[in-house]
Amino acid sequence: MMKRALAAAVAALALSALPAFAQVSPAGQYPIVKDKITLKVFTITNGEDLNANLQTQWLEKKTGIHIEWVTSGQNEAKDKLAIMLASGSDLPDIIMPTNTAPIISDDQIANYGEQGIFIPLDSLIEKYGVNAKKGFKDFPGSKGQVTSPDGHIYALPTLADVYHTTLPQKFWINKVWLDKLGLKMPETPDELLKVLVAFRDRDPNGNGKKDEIPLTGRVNMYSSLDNYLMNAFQYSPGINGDDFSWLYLENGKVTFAPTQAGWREGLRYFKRLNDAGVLDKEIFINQKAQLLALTGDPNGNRVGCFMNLHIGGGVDLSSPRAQEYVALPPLKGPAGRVSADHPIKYYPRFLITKNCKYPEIAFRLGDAIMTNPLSDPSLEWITAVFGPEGQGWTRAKQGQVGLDGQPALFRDLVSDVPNQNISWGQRGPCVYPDALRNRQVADPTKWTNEKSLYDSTKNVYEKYRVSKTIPYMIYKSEDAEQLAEIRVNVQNYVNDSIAKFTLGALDIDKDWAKYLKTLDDMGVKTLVALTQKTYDRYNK
Amino acid sequence: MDVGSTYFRKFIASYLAILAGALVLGNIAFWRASDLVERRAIAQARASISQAMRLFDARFAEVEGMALQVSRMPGVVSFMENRELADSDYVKLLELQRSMPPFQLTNKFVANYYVYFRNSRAIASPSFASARFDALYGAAFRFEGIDSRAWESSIEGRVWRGDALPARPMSSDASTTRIVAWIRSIPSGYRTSKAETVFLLNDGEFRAALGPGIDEGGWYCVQDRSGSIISAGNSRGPLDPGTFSFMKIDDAGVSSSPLSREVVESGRKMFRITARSDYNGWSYRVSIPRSVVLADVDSARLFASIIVAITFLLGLALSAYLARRNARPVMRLAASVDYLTEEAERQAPLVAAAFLDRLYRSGFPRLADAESGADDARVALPSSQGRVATVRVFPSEGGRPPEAARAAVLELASGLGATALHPIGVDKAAFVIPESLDPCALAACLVDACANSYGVETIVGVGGRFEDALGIKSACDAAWEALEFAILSGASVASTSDLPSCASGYRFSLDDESRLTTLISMGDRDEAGRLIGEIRAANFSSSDVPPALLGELAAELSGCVHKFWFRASADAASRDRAIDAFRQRFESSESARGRFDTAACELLSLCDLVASTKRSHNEGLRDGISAYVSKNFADPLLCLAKVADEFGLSEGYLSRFYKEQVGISFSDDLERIRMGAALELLEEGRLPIEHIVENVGYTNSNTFYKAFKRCFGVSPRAYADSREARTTDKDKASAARPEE
Repeated sequence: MMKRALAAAVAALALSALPAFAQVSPAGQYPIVKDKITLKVFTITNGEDLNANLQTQWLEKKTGIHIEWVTSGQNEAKDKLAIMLASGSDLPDIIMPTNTAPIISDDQIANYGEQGIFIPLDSLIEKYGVNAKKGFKDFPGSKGQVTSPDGHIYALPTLADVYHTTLPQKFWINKVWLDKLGLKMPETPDELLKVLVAFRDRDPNGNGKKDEIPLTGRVNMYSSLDNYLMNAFQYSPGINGDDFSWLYLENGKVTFAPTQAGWREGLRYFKRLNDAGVLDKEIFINQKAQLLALTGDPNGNRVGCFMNLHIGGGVDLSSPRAQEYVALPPLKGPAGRVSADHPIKYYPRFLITKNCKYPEIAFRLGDAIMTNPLSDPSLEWITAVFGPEGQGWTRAKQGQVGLDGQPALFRDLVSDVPNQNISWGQRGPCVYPDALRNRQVADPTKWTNEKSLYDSTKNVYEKYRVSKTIPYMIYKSEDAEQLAEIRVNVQNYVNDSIAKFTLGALDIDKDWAKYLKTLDDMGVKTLVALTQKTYDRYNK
Repeated sequence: MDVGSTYFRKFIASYLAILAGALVLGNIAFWRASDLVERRAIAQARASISQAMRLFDARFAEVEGMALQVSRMPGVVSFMENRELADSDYVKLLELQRSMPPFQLTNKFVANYYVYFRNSRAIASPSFASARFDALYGAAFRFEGIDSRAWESSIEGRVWRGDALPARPMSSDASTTRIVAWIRSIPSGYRTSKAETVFLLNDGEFRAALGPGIDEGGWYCVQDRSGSIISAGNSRGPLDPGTFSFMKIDDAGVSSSPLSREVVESGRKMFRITARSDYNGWSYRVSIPRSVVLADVDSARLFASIIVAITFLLGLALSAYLARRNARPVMRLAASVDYLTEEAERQAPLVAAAFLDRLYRSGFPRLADAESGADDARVALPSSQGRVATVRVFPSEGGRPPEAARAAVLELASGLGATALHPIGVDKAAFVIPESLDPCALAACLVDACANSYGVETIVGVGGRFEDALGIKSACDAAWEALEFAILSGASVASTSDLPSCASGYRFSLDDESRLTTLISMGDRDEAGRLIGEIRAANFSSSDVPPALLGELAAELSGCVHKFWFRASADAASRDRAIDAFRQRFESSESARGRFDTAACELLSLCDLVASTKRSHNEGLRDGISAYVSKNFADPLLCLAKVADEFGLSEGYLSRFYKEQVGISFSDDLERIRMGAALELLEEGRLPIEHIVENVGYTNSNTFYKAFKRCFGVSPRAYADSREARTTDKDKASAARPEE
């Protein structure tokens, strides 16, 4: 009697220790678990309570998985995660680093994966990853971006190809001023210079003061001279904190744009702009706030042209002045008409740690979030992007039109009203293809940033797309460390040099050799070689 | 316990006294505690303000150091002279921005800082730089209510030497924080200035260091060395330094060691603690309401009060419970006394009936016995002469049962004045008719009343007169005879006087004979003499008894003598000898009177014989008991019951016997014997008192001590001490003698 009871107890214990195998439902079926289990998930918050979040609650109901949140503020998240991972103890089951400010780099993920802190997902993808597999197929290159140098996949990525960011180098020109002065859209660098001079001299804002700033820009967000304008002289993918700043592929060879001859011609043009007094001398130190102050000046808009990823980077979108600007097509320069393509980064959003007792269930949760909303006519999984239907999004009405002119599918209710705690703000590895993005309700008569971005990308820049860019790759950690140091020095030096050549502090003819020598000393060759090596491995 | 009772009042009074005492002590403790807490809190507040001041001294030192570092940067120094900016100056500005030392490495005190160049109106900070001050001021930072022009002029209006502008809200990006601007002009030490280092300090840091513990009504404020208020706040939040004011009190003696004063602010007692930095002359003040300081004590007092109250309530409940529990045996005793009384009450009629039965039917040998019996039965013994009447009831067919009829008759008789009413058998009863009433009239009256009222036929016999209680039995017998006679004669009432006179009889009833025999066997010479006197008087004083019969009376009396001898346990020879001697003497008398007297004398002498025999028996018994007690007094279990058991006597008899024979009670005597023994042992002085206690039959030394004290007037210890002294004296004396 006693023996039998003991045996039963042992059996119960054994069962309770291995519930993951017993409970998880077959791939693609919900709920994932019948008896509720709890998973600890680390993520970043801006102070909102993710337990009360509607998307959390919807997911729990759908999957049977209760999430216990371990959160951190944006500022300390990076340190907190680093400490957590370095200690290797007290790890949550899942880590969801957001992409608003990446708190863990790809090579760190690869490194921790090799150490066994993150578990490899390859076999789980094979067994359960119906959505992951479909996503990797639908988004070419995405699998490569999350495949570590050791060949394993440790992270599930978000799969969102934000169409307009694939052509980020945009130039915004004040159409109101052009019309007022009776000018045409410039097509070449010289024509642009003429327009800018007219802006400078002919008081297009009409306040009687010569306070116009014909051309400006700012740091970051494809706002600097080496983006749009440089492409007329030299192919340049620009710099946006990416691993491949100013690097591109010329016939499969990694090339560093700032040392090319075309770059020098670009600099000459910049000098001309400055000498003509049409370039904002503070373009190299401007922040977004300063641009907004200039375009929002109470005495009249002071800015004729600016460069930025989108109009909101230079103008307050709620002001009517935002609608004064239109996209200028690529200028026809010595390098032709070029709009440099930018690859899409599929950020790692879902990592399972070695501490997770239910890796299958955890993976099923990530794979569920990776459901492509378009793969299911019910559109139910739009919830993974915007939160539950009714609060995060609604279905489009008959006759409503999407961004791309096709019948609309849904209306986004959260993006314009932040901090409502309805959705996860795309924290998870959600799938948001442009095919869906472009089917959100758009008012054809109303100006929206989203619509202007789509239109300008599609109608103005798409036909000049030139893709020489290096894809996102995961570097070996020792390579990554070496590259990081070189990059910081090179980026600062090149940026300063652009400013100095433009403002005349350096002479383009006299100082060019010295410039090249300095860059060489800084390790540009190594930078190119290591990138080439990684690209070759990636390409295999 | 009754609420109104004395005990209750006394209890409550003492209870309240203890309660009041506890509260007084509690309050004394509270005042001492609050004093202590007050002093400690002030010390703590002084320590914390001192700590805060040192913290800010350190931070200001950092700020000054940084300001100095910035003012010596070559980029800054060269940029100061620029009026119109050349293109290369913008490169310089870019380089300047990049080279500005970072500020947020150690703390959040510095929110940002910048250098403002008066000549070019350019500013540079680690996070922004611009020559367009207006645009930058509006976009990157803006003090609420102050435009860029006003801000510039407020800075340019003077030369700054590490002075501060009061805290005010500043917007940057989307957020608003309160900022204290700390400014130092460059180059330092000159009368003119070319640039300013402006440090934007988080006002929240002052609050974080000084704010905790101020609570409702309290405040803090920070003043620079000129006395202007830079930062202030209360428990609800920051206060505008421009409008904040406080009651000035003498600050003399305030230094880096904080000074605390008690101040009354708008009716509230406050502790004001002030410290002035030796480093930069800034002063830090905190005003804490006294009530906040004492909140802990108050809560402690409340807690203690609750504990005291609970303790007292519990004590009250417990004492009530214990009182009730301890009173229970007493209650039970009271209840059982009530029960016994009730039971006795219930038994009383039975006892009375038994007494009356004996009175009427068998009689008492002595008057004293009858009287004590009447006392026990609570029946009034007919004290004077009277007559006894008997009644028999003849219930009619179908009428009431005989018992009921009899009860009714007795009730009527009682109503007519009869006493000592007593039912005998089912249909008979007896009662006494006092001498004052006419017995025959009463009897007739009773018969009539019975017949009329209850339809009960009764026949009454009236007996002879009795002189005292002892005569009631014979009077009753006579009444029965009269009743028999009445039945036989068909009358309803008959009296002894109606009986046909028996002149041929002498008067020596069987009853008298048995009484006499009893008295002789008891050896009661006096009573026996009295009885014989009565018989003699009854027969010889009147002439109605014929002489022949008197001879027979004498013979009968002599029979009593014979009877005695045959009953007595003497041997046959001495019996026969005694009887022969009596016979000769008896027959030697000729007259009946002479023979009667001889027999009477013989009987009285027999009484003496019995008495003397009895006495000797008692003496033997007494000696036996005394010997037994003397032998066994050391047995702690020796007691009356044990002795009674030993000698085959009842405890009650032994007790009486002992008292009679020895003169004192058994227990007193036993104690006397034991004490005597104890005294002897003490005199011997060999045994300690504890052992003596056991040796003389005591188990409890306390009882022994009490008994000893009672007997000898001193305690055994004192006695032993005095004996010691005496012995020692004696020893001394005997020891001294040889030297004489």
